[in-house]
Amino acid sequence: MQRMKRGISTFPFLLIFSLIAGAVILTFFFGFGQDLLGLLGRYNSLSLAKNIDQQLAAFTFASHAHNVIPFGKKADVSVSCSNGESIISVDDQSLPTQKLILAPTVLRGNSLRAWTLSWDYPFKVENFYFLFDDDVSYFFQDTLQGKETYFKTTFKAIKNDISLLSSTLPHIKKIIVLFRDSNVNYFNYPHVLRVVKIDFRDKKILISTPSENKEFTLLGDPLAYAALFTQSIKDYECVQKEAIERLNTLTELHVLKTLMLRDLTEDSCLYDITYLDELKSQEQYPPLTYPDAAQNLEVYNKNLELANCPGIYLQ
Amino acid sequence: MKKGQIHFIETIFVLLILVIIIFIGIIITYFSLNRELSEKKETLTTTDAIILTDSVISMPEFTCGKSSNCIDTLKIFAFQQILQDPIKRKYYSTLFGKKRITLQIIYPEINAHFDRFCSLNDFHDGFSQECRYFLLYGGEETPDFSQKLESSAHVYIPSLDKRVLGILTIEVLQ
Repeated sequence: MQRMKRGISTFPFLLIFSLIAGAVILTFFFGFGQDLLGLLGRYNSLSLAKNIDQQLAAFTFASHAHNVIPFGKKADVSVSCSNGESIISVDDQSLPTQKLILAPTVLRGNSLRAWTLSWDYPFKVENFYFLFDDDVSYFFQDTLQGKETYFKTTFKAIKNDISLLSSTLPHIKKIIVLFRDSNVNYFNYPHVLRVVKIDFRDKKILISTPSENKEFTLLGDPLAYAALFTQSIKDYECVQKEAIERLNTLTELHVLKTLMLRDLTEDSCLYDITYLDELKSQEQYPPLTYPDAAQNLEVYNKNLELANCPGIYLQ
Repeated sequence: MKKGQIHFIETIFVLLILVIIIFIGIIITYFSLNRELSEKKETLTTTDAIILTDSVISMPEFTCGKSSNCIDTLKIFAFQQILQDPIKRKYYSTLFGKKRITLQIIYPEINAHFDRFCSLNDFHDGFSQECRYFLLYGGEETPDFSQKLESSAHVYIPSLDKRVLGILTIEVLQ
C-alpha cells in the first residue's frame, strides 16, 4: 500500500467526507420520511373517501334514510360530477363512484350527514345521495300550498336549520328556495349561494347563481331536492344527465321485460310498450315529455294489475 | 499502514455498515407496508362484496319492486340482453368488478338431475322446474374464486305471480 507523505493530515478529508456523507444520508432520510408521510396522508384520505362510498352503499337498500358518517379525523370533503361520474374528494384525494351524490359546499369537520332518496320514475331507477353539514342554511318562501308544504316538511325532517324568507337573513351561507316568482334580487343579500325556484305545476326547476342561471325539467321530487343540494349548475346538469342515462337503461330493461310478459302470459293481458318508449332517450334536452310519460305509465301499470295481469313493475 | 489511513478505512467501514442497516430498514418498511396494503385491499374487497350482496337485491335491475329482498326472474333475462351493449357492459363491469353473481332456487326443491342455468324457455307454460340457477353477472363456467358470499332472497316469477326461495351467491374472482 502506498504510504502518505509526512506532514499531510487526513483529518480535513475525513471531515469533508463525513459532512458530505452525513448530508446525503440526512437528505435521503428527510426525503424518505416526507414521502412516507405524504403517502400515509394520501392513503388516509383515500380510505376515508372509500369509507364514505361504502357507507352510502350500505344504505342503498333504503328508499328514504339518513345517517351521520363519522370520519375519525378532521377532513375537507367535497363532491363533484364529471363525465357521468360522481367524485368524492377528501382533502386532495379523489375517488370516482357511480352513485349519484351531491353536496352543497365543501364539508369541513369530523363527520357529515347523509340522506338517501330513491328515485322512482315510476319504477325504481336509482338512489340519490345528499351529503351536508350545518354550514349552509335554507330559506323557504313564506306561503306554501299543497305539494310545496309536503316538500318543505320532508326537507325539514332531514335538515333542521331551515327558515322562512320573511325572517331576517343573517350573515351565514344560505340557499333561497322559491316556488313562485319573486321581485326581490336575493343576490343583493350577503352570502346567498344560490336561488332555486321549483315550479311543481309546470314541472320546472330554475337554479340561479350570481353569475348564471339555468332551467331544467323537474323529473320527480328527488331531482328537486338534488337542486337544493347541488354545489353548482354544472354538477346538477351532470348528475341529471347521468340519472337520465340510468332511466334509459332501466326503461330498456322494462321494455324487454314487457315483451317477455307478452309472450308468457294469457292473451287477455294487453302489454303495450308505448309509454315506455315515450320514456326512452329523446333528441331534445331537457326531456319535456318525461313527466307525462311517467304518469301515463304509472296509470297503465295500475290498470294491468286491476285486470289481474302481472304489472310491468311492482309498486 | 499509517494510523490516519486506518482511521479513514474504519470510518468508511462504519459508514458502509450504517448504509447496509439503513437499506435493511427500508426493505423491512417496504415489505411491511406492502403487506399492510395487501391486507387492506383484501378487507376492502370483502367489505365491497358484503355490501354488493345486499345492494344487488335492491338494485332496480333485479329487484321485484319496493318490497325488499326479492329478485325478478324476467329482469335477470332482460339484464343479460342489456349487457350485450358494450357501453352498458362497461358500466356494470366497473360496478361489479371481478365478480360472478348467481341465484339458486332452493325451495321448492329442484331435482338434482336438473343442475343447470334457467332460460326464458323454462318459463313457457308456467315454470318447468327443470333448472336451478340464474346467471346475473359473469360467466356460466365456475371460476376460480377467492371468496364466496351467500344471502337468501325471494325469487319472483312474474308470469305466475309466484315467489320461490333462493340463495344469491357472489363469488369474488381471483
